[in-house]
Amino acid sequence: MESIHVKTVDPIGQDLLRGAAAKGLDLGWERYERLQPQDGFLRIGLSCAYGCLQGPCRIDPFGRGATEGICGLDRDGMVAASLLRLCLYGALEGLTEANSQEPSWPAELEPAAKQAEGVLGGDVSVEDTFLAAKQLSRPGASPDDLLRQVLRLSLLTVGLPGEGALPAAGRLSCRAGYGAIGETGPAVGVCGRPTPKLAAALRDATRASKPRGQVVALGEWIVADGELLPIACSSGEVEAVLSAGWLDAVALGPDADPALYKLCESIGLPVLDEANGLARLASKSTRGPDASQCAEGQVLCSAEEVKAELASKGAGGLAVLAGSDAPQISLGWLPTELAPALEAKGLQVAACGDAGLWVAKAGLTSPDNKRPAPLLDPLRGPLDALTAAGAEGVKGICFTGLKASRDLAVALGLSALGARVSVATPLPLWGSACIRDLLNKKIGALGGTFAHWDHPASPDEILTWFGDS
Amino acid sequence: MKVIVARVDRCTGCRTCELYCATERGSEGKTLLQAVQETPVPQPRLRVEGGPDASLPVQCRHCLEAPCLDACLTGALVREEAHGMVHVDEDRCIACWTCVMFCPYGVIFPWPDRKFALKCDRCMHMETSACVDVCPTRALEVVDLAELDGVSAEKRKAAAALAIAVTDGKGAVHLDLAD
Repeated sequence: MESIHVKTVDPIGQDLLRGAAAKGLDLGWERYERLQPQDGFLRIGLSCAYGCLQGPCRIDPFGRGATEGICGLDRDGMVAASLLRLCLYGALEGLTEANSQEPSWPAELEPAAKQAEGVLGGDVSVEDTFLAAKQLSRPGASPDDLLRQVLRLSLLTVGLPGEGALPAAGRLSCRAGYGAIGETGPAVGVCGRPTPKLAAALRDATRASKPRGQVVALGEWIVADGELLPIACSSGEVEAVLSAGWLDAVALGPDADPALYKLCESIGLPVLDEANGLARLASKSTRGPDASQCAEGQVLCSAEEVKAELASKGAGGLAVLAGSDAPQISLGWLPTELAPALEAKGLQVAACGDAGLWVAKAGLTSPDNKRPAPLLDPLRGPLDALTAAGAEGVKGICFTGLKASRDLAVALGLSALGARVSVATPLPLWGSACIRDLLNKKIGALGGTFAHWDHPASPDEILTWFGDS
Repeated sequence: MKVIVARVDRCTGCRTCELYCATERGSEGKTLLQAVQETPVPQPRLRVEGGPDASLPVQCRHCLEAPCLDACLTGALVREEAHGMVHVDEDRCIACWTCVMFCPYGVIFPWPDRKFALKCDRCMHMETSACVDVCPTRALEVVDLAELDGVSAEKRKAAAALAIAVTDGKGAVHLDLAD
């Protein structure tokens, strides 16, 4: 039986979870455990993705029940359509003003992108999202066509800037860890992509308070007035940090999970917005975590910076760790095991997103480190690495977890640009061996590779994958 | 003796029990994603029956007087003394499917690929039954046979209360078939 694993590798994080349990608070882990097992048909891609209202049709993977949908769709078509739907969501996440954006790739990757576009049937554009939506309205397209559209959308997603990227130049200093919250003064957490204006206003308010307070990002990379806000935790730890009682208030943006509002309400943590609450900050003080629980690092915000960093280090190749915390794998396990092991193999490690935060928390980004691992832009980082080092120089890009469809589309898009990409969490592709093979062939024809496992991958397996390059 | 009880009012027909029964009891890999890649294809030991109005997982009742036990030609079907469960000794089964034909509930399934009959044994050697463990609506429960009468009585009482409520206290409606 598939089982629940250790929740986080961080011993302080484990204490936070124990503390929350002692307070009777229901966090994401409890919800995750209650939801087990999650829908088996969806997990393997055999729950129909088409929008007809006769279903949902589901194909029995063991062959005793239905072997096709009401319309006659077989398992190959169903799995391909499931993947297309995910990639469509991923591409839409990258669109900020629909219809007005067209993809663009760095000049270094333009030849690979043009070649991929040629193989996949012509120039990629925002129109591809409409075509995909149309393809998902009725099951007329063949699995081959659907997978071609999957790769076109993936390429599109990589070519779109996406919301939440850092300024595309220079370097930023990053502080990450619970200690960023500070031991005294009012502390405010922000997450859910609040407006930069709100983040800056909060920061000013806490700085003006006596004793001086702190605004920290919770699992996100937020720039306020040209500086990166200290990041208190990875995205998988937000609820645990809120439940610790270290914060005086929290500002939740439009992307905040519903659970955060409920948690704040249950623990009486004020939720601030632009219209109210700023004046309340100075009145409270709190006892936060030890300031030593905070690591430092440098974020390389552009491909030029990555190139300069690589030139100065002279490592044998670049290994990129990306992706979000995912409940299928212990928080932080993969990044903290992989980064030192890859370094020991003589590779330069760069990390972004939650993986980057865990690498930082493990002290691997510290300037005191022999070869500090640089951090990359949370959205654009893998592309910057590929631009700087080329497909030959990047030994592999491993997404240690996926939280949003955009991550999946980016992973596929990078492989379509010729990169070696792996995803450590299982994808809904295991319902059809034919589709997995076809996807591999298509990506192979573009010069890339895309690896994924039928189980949450272990560091050993990923290291072996890196070693195969 | 403990048996699995299915609650028709809670079953949504999601067939999660089927998927994970096949995974846990029929596969080598023991995870769904590995099970779907295996040959021969793993098979579940229960089946969700019914339609849009009602669905129900059906599995072996472990009848106290089990026709399958009498029908088995090789003695492959045996009743486990400790648990009271009827189960198939796979090494003895010759795949004649006599038990399949004799089962009054149609809950013994032939598995030609593995050449033995397949039936629920309530996962008696495991801590919990796989289907009970995974059911998202708790439509499946393990109940002691001695308590089963009590459970049935409760259900009858609830049904009777409902009938009385919807018939203005009469408890029954006489249908005039001539109309």
